[in-house]
Amino acid sequence: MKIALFIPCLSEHLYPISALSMVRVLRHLGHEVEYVEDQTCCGQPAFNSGYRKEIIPIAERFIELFRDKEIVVAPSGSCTAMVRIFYHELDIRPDLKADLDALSGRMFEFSEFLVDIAGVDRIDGRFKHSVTYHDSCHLLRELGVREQPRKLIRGLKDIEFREMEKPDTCCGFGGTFSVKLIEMSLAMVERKCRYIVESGAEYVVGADSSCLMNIAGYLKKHKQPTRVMHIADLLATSLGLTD
Amino acid sequence: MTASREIILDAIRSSLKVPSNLPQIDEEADQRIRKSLQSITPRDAAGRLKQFAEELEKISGEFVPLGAETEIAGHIAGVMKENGYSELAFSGERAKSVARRLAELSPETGLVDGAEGNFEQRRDRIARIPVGLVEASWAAADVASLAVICDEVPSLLPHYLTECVFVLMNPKKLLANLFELFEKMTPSNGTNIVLVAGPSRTADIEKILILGAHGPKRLIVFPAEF
Amino acid sequence: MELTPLKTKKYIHKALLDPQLKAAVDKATQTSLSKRQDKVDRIPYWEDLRLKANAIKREVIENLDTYLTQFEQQARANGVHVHWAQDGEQARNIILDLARKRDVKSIVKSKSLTTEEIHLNDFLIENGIETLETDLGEYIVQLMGQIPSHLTAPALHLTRVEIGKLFQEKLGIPYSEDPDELLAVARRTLRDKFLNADMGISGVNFAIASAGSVCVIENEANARLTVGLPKIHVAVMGLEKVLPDLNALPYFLRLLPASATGQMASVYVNLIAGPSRAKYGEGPEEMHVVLLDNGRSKILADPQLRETLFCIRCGACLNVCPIYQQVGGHAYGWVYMGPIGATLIPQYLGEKEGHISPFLSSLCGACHEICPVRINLPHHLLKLRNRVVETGNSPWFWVLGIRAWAFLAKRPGLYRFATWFPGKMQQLLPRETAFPAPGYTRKRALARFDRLGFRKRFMAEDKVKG
Repeated sequence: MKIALFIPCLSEHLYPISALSMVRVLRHLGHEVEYVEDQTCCGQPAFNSGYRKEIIPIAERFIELFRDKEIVVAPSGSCTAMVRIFYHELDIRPDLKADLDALSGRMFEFSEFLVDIAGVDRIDGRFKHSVTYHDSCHLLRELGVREQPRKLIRGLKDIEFREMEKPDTCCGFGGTFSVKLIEMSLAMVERKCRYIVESGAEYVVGADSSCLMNIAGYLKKHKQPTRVMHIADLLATSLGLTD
Repeated sequence: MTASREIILDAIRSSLKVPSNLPQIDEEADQRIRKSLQSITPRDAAGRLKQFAEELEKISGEFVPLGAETEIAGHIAGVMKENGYSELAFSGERAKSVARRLAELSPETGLVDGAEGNFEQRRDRIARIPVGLVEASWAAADVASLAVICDEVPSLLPHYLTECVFVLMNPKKLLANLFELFEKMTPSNGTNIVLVAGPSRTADIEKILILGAHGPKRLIVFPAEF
Repeated sequence: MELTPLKTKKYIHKALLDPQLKAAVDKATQTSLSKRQDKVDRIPYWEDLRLKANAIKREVIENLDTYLTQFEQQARANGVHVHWAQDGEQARNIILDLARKRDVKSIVKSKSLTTEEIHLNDFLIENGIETLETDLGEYIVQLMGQIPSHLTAPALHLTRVEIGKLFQEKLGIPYSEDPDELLAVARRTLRDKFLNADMGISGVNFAIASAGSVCVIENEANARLTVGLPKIHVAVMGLEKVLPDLNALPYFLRLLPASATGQMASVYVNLIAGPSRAKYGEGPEEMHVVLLDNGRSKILADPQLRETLFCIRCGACLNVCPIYQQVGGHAYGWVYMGPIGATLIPQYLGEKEGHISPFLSSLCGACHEICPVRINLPHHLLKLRNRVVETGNSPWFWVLGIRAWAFLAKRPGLYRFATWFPGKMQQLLPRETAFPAPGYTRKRALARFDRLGFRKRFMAEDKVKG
């Protein structure tokens, strides 16, 4: 399939390696990958802060950029949800509404794409470590993606999958929430990291760099040995595709 | 006051001029609920009774499988003796006949007819009586619910003012679940109904369950067949 | 206690520093959630129930005038006096006037958040009428001089030690922290009050339009005594509480107890169809229902946010909310708290007083998942955030920042520069500088900007391949 990449801001600037891992895995599976030049941002931080009319031009631009693409894949549940679900709440130009509807049916988060669209049963890679998985909120509750990442993780040779306590509890990032309600965000990430560490897993894997950044930041500051990995990095590593 | 009524209704009507922007309704949900209920409903009266008994135990009620007047009276007499209860208030015709048997078995027990006297007298009297003997009009097996239709009982007071209440349930009017209950009850307008599931309780202190809040602490049910 | 949603951040700060509060709230919410899950596991048609309940509520809300007038007509036919109150002040005065006319000296109340919303208790007490809460949690909270901290478990934030001390101080009994003993004290004290009260005030869980009756659901029997003993019964209800008919009730009787307290069924479901003295020889001689608007008809005007009127006040969204779990209900500053409270505060109190409330959420969606009537709380919170912005209640630096960002995001070249800039700064400035949100790094290490970024790396990748 011909896949257009939707690269979220955090992936572009902070975690490009994870996005690159995604590209390598997709190519390994035989898909063609294209980067849409001039993509900027989906507008989620502003939307979540209550700004709608300000991001309408950005949403319209996004739809125009991606509307002719066969499939759009993003290494993020929250950004995918922003377009697929929340763009429908914006007063965009009537002529773009049909495009948005169509785009919503062709846009996926990475693990969702692999399992539901590309029909991947298992990734033929090896990862001889113990791993736990964090359900990011929008991926789980807006997009309904729960089993797909787990299936991919469990399918790796020699991997030991450990479910942490309450894996679907919010990590406390919530985008601008993490800076608007700092103390609350810290209390939440503290709890999440406690569950992660208690699982005893060597790695915590997730599908959203935003959550992972939040978790990694806390674990690092508290000198915890648990390593944090995006699912794209996990799959790429298992296939020997990383540098 | 009528001005408020018109103002409020006008405000509502004006608000409702804008149609809802909400997701589509799933019209099939009710059908699926009915199908599911059917598949989990006990097949027969014996099954329903068994479920009722099990559910009652789960909510700290007691099910005593005695159906005849004398047996029931005997059990009640035993419980009252055990707990040092000396007075009982009853409400209903079947309850009355059990009370008569009880009078024969333990003549020293004070028996108060819940229907006698004016309301204030009954209220103050029964508020100080520890035991009630009452009837339920219907019952629902899935949650051990007892339905009391106020038209059918002379007084509701012994049901809730006492600390230990004995209930005569009619197994022929034991239905599978609350849906059936409301379908079958079809009370006329103006009818008061109380559904009771187990003894009164609270968990307002640290979510610890304690029985016997302002109503009964003990609820004992007989599948009375007379 | 006078709380205000404006001071929410201060309350949160305080609550996060209180390990005892946190432990109490955590334990209570986890207990409620696991008991709920037990019951949900036993109901295979749970998800369909939610769909059906949402449909019923929608039918009612979209035809609210019809159902309310039907209720009024049927209730009047049953001998009930129906009053309409535009706001809290009118409702309070209706009840006070009635109490004065009937020479009411003491009132017993069963749990009603609607009466908390309109500050009824304090008003009546100021006017010389003893007004006593009888639900144990409400009774405790009233003795403490606080407002409830949860929709269905008012004293959830208190430990038994605190309650024991409270009873000792206010009721003059020897100290005990044994819950059974504390309950026995409450039962004894309140029994006399029930028997001698002149008026009983209750809330309403559901009003049945076709029957003109009200349904009051409880576990303690205190509502049963409140509506069954005093000679006047006053039921206070928000306009949105009405259901079409009795056959709608079982759906909610299945959803509410499991969601609220993790029970298969509440102990008492009281269906009260009129003043029972004339018909049944016992109970109230007079029954009144006060229909309260107080902003509901205005909430109704929004085609999306009217869904927040579907709420059946079960409190499940509170139990599952990671914010509520950390700080409890008082942090929200109003009688309705948690996710539903966060949507109601700006709608009832305005976007100024409620400008922070919709932001008390990471938008995780757990509330939507658990809501028995499927209210899409995160979507409504987002809508209300937009309202806060549109009414000019967003801080200036946010408005400026977002406008600047939006300007850049439409211009890819400029955007690339603008986003390259902080990365460069990060390389040049000392590590761990986290302007403009220094607090973020209090307990978290800051991520580093990648020196190349994805675009450059991807292009390099392709060069290598091609």
